[in-house]
Amino acid sequence: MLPTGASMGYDRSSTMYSPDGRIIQTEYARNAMRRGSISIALKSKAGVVLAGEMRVTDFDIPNHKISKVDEHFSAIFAGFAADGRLLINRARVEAQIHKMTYGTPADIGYIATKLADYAHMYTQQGGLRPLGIGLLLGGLDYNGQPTIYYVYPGGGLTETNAKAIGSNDSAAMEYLKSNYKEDLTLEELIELAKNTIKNSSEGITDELIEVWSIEASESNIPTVEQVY
Amino acid sequence: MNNVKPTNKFPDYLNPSEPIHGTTTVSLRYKDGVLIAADNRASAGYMVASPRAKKLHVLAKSTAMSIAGMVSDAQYLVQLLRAEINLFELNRNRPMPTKMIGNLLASVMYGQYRSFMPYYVGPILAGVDEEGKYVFSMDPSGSITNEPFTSTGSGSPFALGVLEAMFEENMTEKQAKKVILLALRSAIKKDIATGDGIDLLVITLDGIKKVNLDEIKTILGDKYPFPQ
Repeated sequence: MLPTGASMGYDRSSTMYSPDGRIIQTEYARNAMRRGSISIALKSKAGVVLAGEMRVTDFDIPNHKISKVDEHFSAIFAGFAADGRLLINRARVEAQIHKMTYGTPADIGYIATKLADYAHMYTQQGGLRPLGIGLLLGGLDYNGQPTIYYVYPGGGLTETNAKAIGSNDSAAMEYLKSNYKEDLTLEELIELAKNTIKNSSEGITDELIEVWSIEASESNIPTVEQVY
Repeated sequence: MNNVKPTNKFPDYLNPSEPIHGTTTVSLRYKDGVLIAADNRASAGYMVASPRAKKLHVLAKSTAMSIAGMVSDAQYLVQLLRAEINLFELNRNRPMPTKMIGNLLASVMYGQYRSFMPYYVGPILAGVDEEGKYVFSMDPSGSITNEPFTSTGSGSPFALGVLEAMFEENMTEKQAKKVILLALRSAIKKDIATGDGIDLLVITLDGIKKVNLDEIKTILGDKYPFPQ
């Protein structure tokens, strides 16, 4: 008996295209990301801000939404938390390996590419499922430039100025489109990030929003202690 | 066939019972913390390979390491430890205590020793953490002991002679600086692979301070071993 329904069974494996050229499992992975709480990354010449909603269940102490990767940049993800931890660990290890090998801080784009390569592997290898998360990497690059990268669940990668992922991300993006400007100060960026989250869905208070920021200043440019 | 000698032993330079060649490094504990000192000469047999070698390395807020032996092995271990310490602090949200750093280094060196590829280094790991003061003396076999004072490198017999005669528990910082500098001076005077300059670090729970050259000259007075 042939599989029925709109996807005709082509959604059963991430290692198979549908006749119109889609990998439907990666689209489902995007839906998994949208089930996660909202995560935002913004940048201007003044710096970079990451912000997200922490979900609290009963008496549980909520997980931190934002994870530091190295001195100069952090990560925030929306989606399946276990998959997120995998990429965060990977990012931290890659950042340290870069410092050991080259004696300089890692480019954020280099780490983002490593993560995207890793996420991509999960879309090609048999027996694996695509990661159910989107991940934003943001901070000061090796040269002190504010930088944000977005890693898609399927292993795609883009550099961006402002991004919202997670539940109600389309509403948040609409809000950002009408309020984000490239010349905002760091304080204004933080305010905008919080307002975007509060506008995306009801009932989110300031206590539930975790924020991380870094100012683009001479003293924040990352360095590595040399052995010689 | 009878004259073939058995080869189931390390070559002499990897034999852990042989002293580590080149360099003198000294460390001792005093009332408020620990001191660690080293010379600046890198030797290659009877040649001075560099008169400005850096043998003291800051690993964490209150932990430093001195290196003696194969420079490449030692520099790699410094970078490896820094990476491990950074990952520890990112993953656990607390500083890595000196005791753990010491045991980690010993584990890494023991693992290599048992794989027949030992790191040819004689490090001293000195530091202060919430639990206590540590002067860890180590060798390529991965052994670790916490000593009141120790010295490694080719000049260590000369330094240890001075330390045995002059060391007391709970010295003041001033007394301790004098003792450690006299010990290093003795090695600089008598050992051909030790010389060219002096580095000295003061390690307390508050952090690490480098002692500047003028102060070293003042403490040693007419016993300063180099031409003024």
